[in-house]
Amino acid sequence: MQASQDNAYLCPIIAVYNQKGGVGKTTTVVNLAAEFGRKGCAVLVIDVDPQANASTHIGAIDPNLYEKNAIALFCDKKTRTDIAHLGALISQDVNDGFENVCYIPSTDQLDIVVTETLRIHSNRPLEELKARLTLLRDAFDVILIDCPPALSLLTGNAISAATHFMIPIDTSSDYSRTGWVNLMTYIKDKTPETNPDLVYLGALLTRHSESINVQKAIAQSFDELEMEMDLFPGVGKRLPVYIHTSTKVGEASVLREPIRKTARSNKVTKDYNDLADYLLETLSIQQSLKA
Amino acid sequence: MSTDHKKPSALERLQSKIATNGQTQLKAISEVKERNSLVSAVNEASLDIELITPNPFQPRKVFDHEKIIELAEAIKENGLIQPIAVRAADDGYQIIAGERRFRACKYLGHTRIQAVIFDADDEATAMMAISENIDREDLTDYEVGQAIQNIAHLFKKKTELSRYTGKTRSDIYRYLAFNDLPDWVKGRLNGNPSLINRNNAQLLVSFFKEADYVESQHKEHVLAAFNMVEESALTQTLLIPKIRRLIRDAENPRRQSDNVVSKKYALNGKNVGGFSFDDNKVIIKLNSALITDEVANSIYQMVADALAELDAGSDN
Repeated sequence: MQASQDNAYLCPIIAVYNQKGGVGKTTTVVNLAAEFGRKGCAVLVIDVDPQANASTHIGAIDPNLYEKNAIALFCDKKTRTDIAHLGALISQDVNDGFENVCYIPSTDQLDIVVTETLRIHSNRPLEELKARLTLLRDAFDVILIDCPPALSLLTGNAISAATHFMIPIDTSSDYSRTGWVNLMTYIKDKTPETNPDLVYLGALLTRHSESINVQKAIAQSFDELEMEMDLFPGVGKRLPVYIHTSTKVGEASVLREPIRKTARSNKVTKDYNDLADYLLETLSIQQSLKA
Repeated sequence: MSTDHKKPSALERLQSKIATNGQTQLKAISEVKERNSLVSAVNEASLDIELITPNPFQPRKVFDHEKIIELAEAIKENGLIQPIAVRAADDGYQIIAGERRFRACKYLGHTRIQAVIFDADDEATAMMAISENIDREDLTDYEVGQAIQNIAHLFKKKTELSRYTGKTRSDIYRYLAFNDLPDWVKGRLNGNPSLINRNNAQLLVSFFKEADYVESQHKEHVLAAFNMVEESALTQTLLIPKIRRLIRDAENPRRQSDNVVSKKYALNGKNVGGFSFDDNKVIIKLNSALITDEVANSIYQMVADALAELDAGSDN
C-alpha cells in the first residue's frame, strides 16, 4: 500500500549472472519473472545473452524475427533520450503463464555488434545500458537482466545498470564455484566508478540437494570462500532460498512455460515462489497490478 | 495425428513440442536469411579511386563543399575509419554508401580508398543508399522524396514501403508528390532542394490541378512566391495562400496603388497616433489627450489654407 502511494518509487533492477554457463541464470530469470508477474508486479525482462534463451522461453515469437532488439539498448542514440523509441523495443507477445511480463529480446548478433560499436563510438562504453534503463525505471515494478556467461562488455553494462545482483551457483558440480572468484573481482573492479551503490543479494544455489554429501560440501565450502573474500557488504550470506533439482525444469523449457504451469506442486515451483516472496519483502517491490 | 482416443504420453507430448520448437526456429532463420539475401558482403579491399563512380540512387543532391573539406581534414588526421561500401559495376565500382567520404578522399588527392565490396543488385543499392541517408536531419524533404521514389516500385503496396522506410503512409504520399510536380518546379528544387517541404509539395500538386489554374498566366506568381521563400520573406506554411493572394491581386487590382505612405507618431517611444496617405484619402490620427485645442485648430487651419490655395490656383 505504502509503496504504491510513493510517487518516487524506483524499481529495482536485478541482474543475474555468472560467467559459467548452465548454472541456472536463464531458468532463474524466467521463473522469477513469472512469479513476480503472478503476484501483480509489472515485470520487464531484459535479455542481454546473445544465446537469447530467455527471449525464446518467454516470447511467443522467435527472437530472430524482431527487427528491434536489445542492440538498440546499447547502440541506438535515440533510445538514450527518447522513451518512445525505448518503448518500441519492449515486446508483450509472451507465452502462456507469463502474465504481466514484458521483455526486450536478444539476438545472436548482440555481442559482436555491441562490442564493435561501443569500442569505437561510445565515451562511456560500460554505461550505455544504464542510461536507457534509468528512463524505464518508473514504468515497471521490477526489471530483471539475464546476462551472458562471459565477462564481456555486455556483462559490464549489466552490472553498471543494475541496482542488485545475484549469482546462481550450481552445486551439482564443483565447476561453477571455480569462476566465482574471478567474477567477484571483476565486479569489484568495475563498479566503484560506474555503480558504487550496487547491492549483492547473495548466491543462489541451484540444482541443490542437501541430502547429497558432495553438494552439501560444496555449499559449505562456498560459504567459507565468500566470507574470506570480503568484497561486498553482504558477502558471506547466501540467499535464504535455494533451488532444488528437478527434471521438470528441462520439461518447462521445452514447453516454453514457467515451471509452475508444467508442475504446479513441484518443489522448484515452490522455490521460485519463495524466492519471489523473499525479494518482494526485502526490496519492498511494488505490486502495482495486484488485483 | 493419432486416431485412437488414448492421450499422448508425456514423452510423446515433449517430442512433438521439441519438433515444433525446432521447426519454428528453422523457419525464422530462413526467413531472416531471405530478408538479408539481397545484399551479401564479399570482401574489403583498397581500391583505385579512379575506378569508383557515384551511386545513381544517391538521394543527396547538394554536397556542401565546406562539409566535405571538414570531413577531409578529419580523414587527414585520423585516416578513413569507416570504409565506404561499393559494388562491382561495368568496368569499376559504384558507391552504395559513403559518397561524402569518397569525395573527401578525392579532395585529399588519395589514389586509393578502403572499401567493402558488396554483391548487390540495383534494388539493394537503392535501398542501402536510402536507408543510410533517410533519417539524416540534413537531408531535405525533396531529397528523401527522390530516394523514396527510386525504391517505390520495389514494393507492391504503399504500406510495405511505409514499413520499410519507417514513414507513415500519409507522409509517403507527401514525399511522392514531389514527383508529380511540373518540370519547371523540379528544376528549381534541383538547385535549392529545401525550397518546398513535403507538405507544400502535396498542396502544390493539387493546386496545379485546380480548374481555375492556368499555367501560362499564373506561373509567374508561383515563381514570385518561390523567390520570396528563398529570400526568407515568406514562410513555407504561407506559400499556397500567398500564391492565391498574388493571383487575386493581379486579376482584380485594387485601387490602392503603390504610393501608400503610412507613418506613426511616437512620444517617449510610445505610439500615440498615425499618418497615412493613399490614392483615396489622407488620415491623421492622434490621441486627443496629447494635443491642445490650439494645435488641433492649427492643423485644421493649415489644411484649410492649403485647400484655399488650391482653390485660388484653379481659379487662375
